[in-house]
Amino acid sequence: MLEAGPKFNPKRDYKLDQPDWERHMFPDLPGSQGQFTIDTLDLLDPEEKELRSWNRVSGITVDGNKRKPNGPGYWHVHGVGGSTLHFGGESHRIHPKAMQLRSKYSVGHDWPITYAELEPYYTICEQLVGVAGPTKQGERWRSKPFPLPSHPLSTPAKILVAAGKELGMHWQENSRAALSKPYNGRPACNYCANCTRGCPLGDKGSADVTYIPKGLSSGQLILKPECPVVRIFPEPNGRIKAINYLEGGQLQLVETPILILAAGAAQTPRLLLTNKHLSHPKGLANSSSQVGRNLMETLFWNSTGFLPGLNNSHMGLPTDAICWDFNAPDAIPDVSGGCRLVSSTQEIGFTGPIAYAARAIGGFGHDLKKTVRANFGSAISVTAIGEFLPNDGTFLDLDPQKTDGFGIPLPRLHSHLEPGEIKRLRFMASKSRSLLQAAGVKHLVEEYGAWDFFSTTHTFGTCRMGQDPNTSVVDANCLSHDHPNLYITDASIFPSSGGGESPSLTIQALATRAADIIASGNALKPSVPG
Amino acid sequence: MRRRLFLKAAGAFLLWRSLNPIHAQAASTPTLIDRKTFAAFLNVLIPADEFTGSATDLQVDKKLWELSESDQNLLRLIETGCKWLNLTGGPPFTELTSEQQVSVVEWMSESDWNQVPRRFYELIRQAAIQHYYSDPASWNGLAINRPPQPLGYPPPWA
Repeated sequence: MLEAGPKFNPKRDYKLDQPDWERHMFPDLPGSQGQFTIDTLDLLDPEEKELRSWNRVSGITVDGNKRKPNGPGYWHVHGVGGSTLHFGGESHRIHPKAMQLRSKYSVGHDWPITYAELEPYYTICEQLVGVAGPTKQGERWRSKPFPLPSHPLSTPAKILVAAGKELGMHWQENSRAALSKPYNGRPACNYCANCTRGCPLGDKGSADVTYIPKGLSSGQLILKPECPVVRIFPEPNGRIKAINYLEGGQLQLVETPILILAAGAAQTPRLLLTNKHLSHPKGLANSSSQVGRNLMETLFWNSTGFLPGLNNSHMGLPTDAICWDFNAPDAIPDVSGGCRLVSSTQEIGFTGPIAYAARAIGGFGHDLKKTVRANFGSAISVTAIGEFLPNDGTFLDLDPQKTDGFGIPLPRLHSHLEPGEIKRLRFMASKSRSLLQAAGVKHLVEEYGAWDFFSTTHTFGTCRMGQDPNTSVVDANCLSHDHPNLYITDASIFPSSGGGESPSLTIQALATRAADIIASGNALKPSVPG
Repeated sequence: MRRRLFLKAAGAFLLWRSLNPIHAQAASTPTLIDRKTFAAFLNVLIPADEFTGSATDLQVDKKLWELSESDQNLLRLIETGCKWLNLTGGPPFTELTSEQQVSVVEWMSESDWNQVPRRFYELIRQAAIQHYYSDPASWNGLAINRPPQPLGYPPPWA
C-alpha cells in the first residue's frame, strides 16, 4: 500500500496530555495535507442573512458579500489511516432511501447497489472497528447487533434528548467508532471529548488501529508511507500496467496486476485527470467525462448557547446523541434530501476555556475571567448535516495555473449552493435553534454554517459509481468502466451524499466489498431485512 | 474622567489615521517602554483576581515577546500598539490609573476594526487568551484541573 502521507505517532504527535492541548488541533505533519485550490465562491444573498455565521466575540465572521473557505475549506488528512485520523468517529449506515434518489424522488442519482447488498459488509466493518451503538436505528435495518453497547450520554446530550421529546422528536444514542468496552486489544474510551484532535488511546476506530494492523498481521501487506503516486501507465487495451511513485524523493516504477485508488474525492480525480495518455486523452477512467463532476460537499449548520445549570458539557463522547427524524429524502417539507441533527458541544470544540473566551465570551478584564468561570461547562450545541445534491456549479477540475513541485496541476474545487441546499440549510438552522430554545437556552453565543463558509469535511462524488458507463466512472463493484483492473474505493464514488450521514463506514463497507470481489470473485449474498 | 480619557484616545486615534499603516512600520528590538506598556496592557485584558494570577503572572507577555522574535508581523503589531497606547496626549499608559487604563482599552474594543487600536486589541486579546488559558495555573475556579489525557473524564458527569 502506497500512502502519500506520513505515519503518525499518536503518543508523540497528539497533544491532549499537554497543558497547552487546546491550542493544538489535529497535527499538520509534513506531507499530511494535499495541495488544492478553491475557485471563487458564491455571492451571498442578503435575503438569507439569518444563515450567516457569527459569534459573540467576533460578530459576523464572514466579511463581505462572498462565501469564503473556513480554514483550508477542504478538510482531510494524508497519512496512514487517512481522514479517519481526525474524524469524530460517527459510524453511520446510509439511509436505504437515500440510495434511490433518482428513481424515487427525481433528484440526484441512484446507487447501483442496494442497502441489502451493502448490509453484510456494514456488519463486517462494524465488527472489525468495534462500533458501539443502540439496538435499533429506524429504517437502517441490520442483520446483527452492534458489537458493543452504546456509550453513556454526556450532560448536553441528555438535555437535547429531553428537549427533542418536548418537540416531538426522537433522539437516541449515536453509533460511534469508539469503544464502549475494551475490544480486540484496544482500550475503552475514557471520554476526554476531543476525538478530532487525534486519539492517543487507540479506542477511536481510525484505520491505523483497525484495518491497517489487521492487514499487516496477515503478512500480505507491505505499507509504504510518504510514497505519493504520481504517474499511472495504462496499456492500449486499458489495463493498468504500472505506476510511478516517489520514495525519498526518488521516482520508483512498479508494475501492478490491480490498482486500487483511495486518495479521496480531490486527489483521486486529480490523479486520473493528470494522467492523460494517447489512448486516454481525457485522463484515466474518464471516457464518460464524469471524473471531477458530481462533487458534493458538507452542508452543515451549528448553533450554540449557554444553558444555566448545565455542568461539565466539555466531558464525554462527542456527537453521542443523534436525531434521525429528518434523515429520509422526503422528511424535510418542500425539498428532497434529508438531514440529521446531533449533539455537538464537544465536537465543535467547546472543550476548554480558550474556546469559551475566544468564541463565545467577549470583553476583557475581571468580567471576562468571571464570565468564563461562570459559563465553562454550560455550552450546548446542535449540529445539523444535510444532503447535498450534485449540481453543475459544484465540481473539481485541474487548476490551469497552479502546480505542485513536480509541475503536476493541482485539483481545483468549485462550489455552488442551489436553492434546494439553501432551503435545507434554513430547515437545519430552524430545527437547531428551536431545540436549544426548548432546552432552555435564552441567548445563542455562536452559529456557523455552509451558507457563508465553504468547509467540507465529508466530500463526495467526482468519480461517481453507476451502471451506465456513459454517465459514471466506476461500476457497482468499484471497478472502472474503462480499465479492467482499476478500482476506486473512497468517497469519490458516492452517487449521493446521503442525508447527512458520516461517510466513513460506508466507504469501508464499499471497499471491503470490492476487496471481497477481487479476492474471491463474488460478493456476499444480500442480507434480508429481519 | 472616562469621557476626557475617551476624547484623548479618540484624538490619538484620529492622529493615528494620518500615520503609516502597520505593515509599513519597521520592526526593531523592543524597548523597555514597549515591554512595560505591553505588560500593562495585557494585565488590563487579564488582571489578577482571587482565583488566578494576571497575564504577566503567567508570563503571557514573555511568551508573546518570544513569539515575536520569529514573527515580524507580531513584533510590528505589538510595537505599533504600544506606541498608540502612549500617544493619548497625557501620561504614558503605564502611569494611568487602573480605571483610566480600563477606559482606554474599553474604547479600543469598540473602535473601528480597520484601525490600529481595535486591530491591536482584538489580535492581542486572542493571543493572550490562547497563552493564558494554556497554563494550568489559569484553571483554578474552572471545572478542569488537568489536560484531557491521559486520564480522560470518566462518567458520571452530572
